[in-house]
Amino acid sequence: MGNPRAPTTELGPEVSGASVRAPDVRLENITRRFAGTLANDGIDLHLRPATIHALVGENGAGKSTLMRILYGLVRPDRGRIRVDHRPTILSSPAQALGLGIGMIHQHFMLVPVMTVLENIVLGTEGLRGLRAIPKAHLAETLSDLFESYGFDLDPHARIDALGVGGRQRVEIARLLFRGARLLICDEPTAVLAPPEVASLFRILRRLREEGRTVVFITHKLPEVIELADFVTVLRRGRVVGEMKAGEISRDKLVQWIMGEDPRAATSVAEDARSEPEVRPHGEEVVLAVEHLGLRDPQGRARLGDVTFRLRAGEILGVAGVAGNGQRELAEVVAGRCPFTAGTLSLGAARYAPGQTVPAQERPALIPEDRTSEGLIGDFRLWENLLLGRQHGAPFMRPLGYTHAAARNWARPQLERFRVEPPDPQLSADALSGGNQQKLLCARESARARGLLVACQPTRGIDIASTRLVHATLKRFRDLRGSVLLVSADLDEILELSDRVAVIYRGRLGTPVPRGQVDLEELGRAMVGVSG
Amino acid sequence: MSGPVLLLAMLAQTLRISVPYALAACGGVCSERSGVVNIALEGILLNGAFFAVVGTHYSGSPYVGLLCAGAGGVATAALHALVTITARADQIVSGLAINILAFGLTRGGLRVLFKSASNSPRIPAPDPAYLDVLPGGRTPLGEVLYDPLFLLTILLLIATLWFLFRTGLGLALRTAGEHPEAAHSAGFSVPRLRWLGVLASGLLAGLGGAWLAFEQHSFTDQMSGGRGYIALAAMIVGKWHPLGAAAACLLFGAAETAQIRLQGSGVPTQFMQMLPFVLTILVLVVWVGRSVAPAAVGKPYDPEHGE
Repeated sequence: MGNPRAPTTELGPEVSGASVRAPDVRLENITRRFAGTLANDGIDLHLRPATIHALVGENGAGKSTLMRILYGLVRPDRGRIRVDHRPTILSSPAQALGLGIGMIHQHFMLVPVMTVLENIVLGTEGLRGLRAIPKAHLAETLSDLFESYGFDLDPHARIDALGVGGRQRVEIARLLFRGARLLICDEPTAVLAPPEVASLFRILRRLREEGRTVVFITHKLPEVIELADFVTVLRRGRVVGEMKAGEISRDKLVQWIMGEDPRAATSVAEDARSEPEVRPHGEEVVLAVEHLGLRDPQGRARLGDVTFRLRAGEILGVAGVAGNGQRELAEVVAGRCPFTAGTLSLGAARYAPGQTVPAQERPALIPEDRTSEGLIGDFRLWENLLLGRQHGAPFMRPLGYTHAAARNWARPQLERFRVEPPDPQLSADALSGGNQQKLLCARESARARGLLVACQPTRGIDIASTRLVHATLKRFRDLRGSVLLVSADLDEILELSDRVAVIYRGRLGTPVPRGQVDLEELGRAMVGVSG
Repeated sequence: MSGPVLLLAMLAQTLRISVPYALAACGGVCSERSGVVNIALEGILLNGAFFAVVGTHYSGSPYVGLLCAGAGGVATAALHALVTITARADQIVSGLAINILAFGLTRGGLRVLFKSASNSPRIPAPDPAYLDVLPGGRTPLGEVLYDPLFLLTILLLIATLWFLFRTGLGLALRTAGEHPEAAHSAGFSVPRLRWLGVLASGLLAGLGGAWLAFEQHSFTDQMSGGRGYIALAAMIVGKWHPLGAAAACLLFGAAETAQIRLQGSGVPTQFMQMLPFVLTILVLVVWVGRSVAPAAVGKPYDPEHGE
């Protein structure tokens, strides 16, 4: 261990300003098979130094797998990677980091109970063994790094005290600290509010100016057009095409992403169209919330003085940066969590603080976290469809039901919601994220009687699935159902909602009819700058 | 016995009882912080005690016995690591199986090596000559405080504390227990980190078993007597922290001392013998809600899971 001070100088990033030379990376004929499906099928990709390269495609198109291969997390079955023209075998993230390749995962790789500093220095060369971590010295280095990039971060803060934007900046800082010159960002904007997206884009452009390469995976095409120097489209594990900045067109991208047979119209969407245009929303109040408040067991206020009404045949959109109480609001309104102040009225029933909503009275809920709260991964698709609907399912007999009857009941629902593959015997784990969300939509929209609460219903899912989810929500509304839509995606809120309200630090602003929404004001309200 | 003398004797007894708990609980911290539930502590204690006796019996030196106990503990833990980390089997089932295996192996060992169904011949415990020289070396408290294995225990507690919370490798090990993908993504091998944590628990709990054997100067059948499980409870009460766990072990040791001292006071012995366990349950009920386990403990890690 020796002198505890002297050797610390070599731990530290090339702090900004200085220009960086990014590696020239070529992926050639990359092929990788997972349990019978070809996730990557002979992919060629050239990542040019000092460019921003977008990677788009449906869920399951193979984007994440390809990037996990480049980061050494997954080994390709065939093909090779050249870094600066030298064939390279990347068998571990440590090796990729050694070559200056770093990755920010869609689900952050941060330990919530540890500090910013601990998360950043984890695995740094020289701090992988029994040497004590020179925390004071590193805190200074990190403060300099944060300052030079304009990150408002405290090295000693715990991760669970940070919002999503802050956590993302920690991830970026970690890669810079490790000297990454090629940064892979897996859907970096999926969880951010517009002002945060703008600041992320500033950071990414700055990284490019310094000479670093940025690869970003996204489902949002306007971002591609705004930011990317190059865009590569993947479909079913193959490269469909590549475009340069300036020649990128949205229509072309959509066509490449969806394939030759653009299934723009889904079955539910068709249903929605064939339904007669139903009257606009009535006066019947389905949900009324008055001065609602929620404190967590530690006594911290999560929701304060929330008041709004939701009428039949109306979608109320709740916009806001994740972590501002929208998840709690959705859970309270859906009767999943008792509140601590105010009243909640669902139809004719009124609930006081501390009261629980009886299970059969609870509104349907599409929860934020589909894998841990919405579905049971080990259960089959028909079992998942049946959950919460087992009473009065048409195939129930006095002595129970047969699996065959349940499967036959489930199959048409899977087909109608285009769950791929529509095999009721599969376990929910076997589906991609988009298909899991469609499964959840199928169940909850069928279960819902008057009110459906949808929380981030399209986060991280592809275009076709998103369209289906949107069509489901619209159709539910058109049939005089009410939807409370919570989303961090402003485009989604504006597309679907009849009225829009912003939630910030547990307080909900006054809902505004969609036609009267001022985008800039909305963006400001989301970060707490009231106009 | 006068008041102060009695008090010192009780303190000495509390420390004696607490040492194996503390070693096993500290081992539990190492294992669980890395993400592996280790209820095999019970079996490791038992094997440690057995190997301490075997080593001491055949070499004549309790220090060789100590080495054997550490090695036996590590070997037992290696089996747990192999099954749960490398083969990714269920950690609870593996732990239970190892405990049952240890009962059987030590009982068989007794029969084969010592031709007895219940206990081994008497063995000497470490008895360093410096005890005669040091002040108070031959008092009940001095015999504990100056005991080489007691001093080693203190040293190992400090070393574990320093390792887990001051070094880069310790940080990585804790990350493997909280968010293994993050450790992997930062360039560590999660299986290696977990092997390290489990093997450390084997060394520590194995030495704890040696203490049990030296206390009794022999090995008796099933002599671990549920101490591994109490150590696990102490680890939880101590919030997966070496010092917290050691403090909880002292509490349980004190309860057991009180139970022994209060025998013959009119309360039926069976009730008194329940005291440490009742205390365990009480402390668990009152405390466990505030104690948060490492987020990924108990979950096998597969580095190439799907997309």
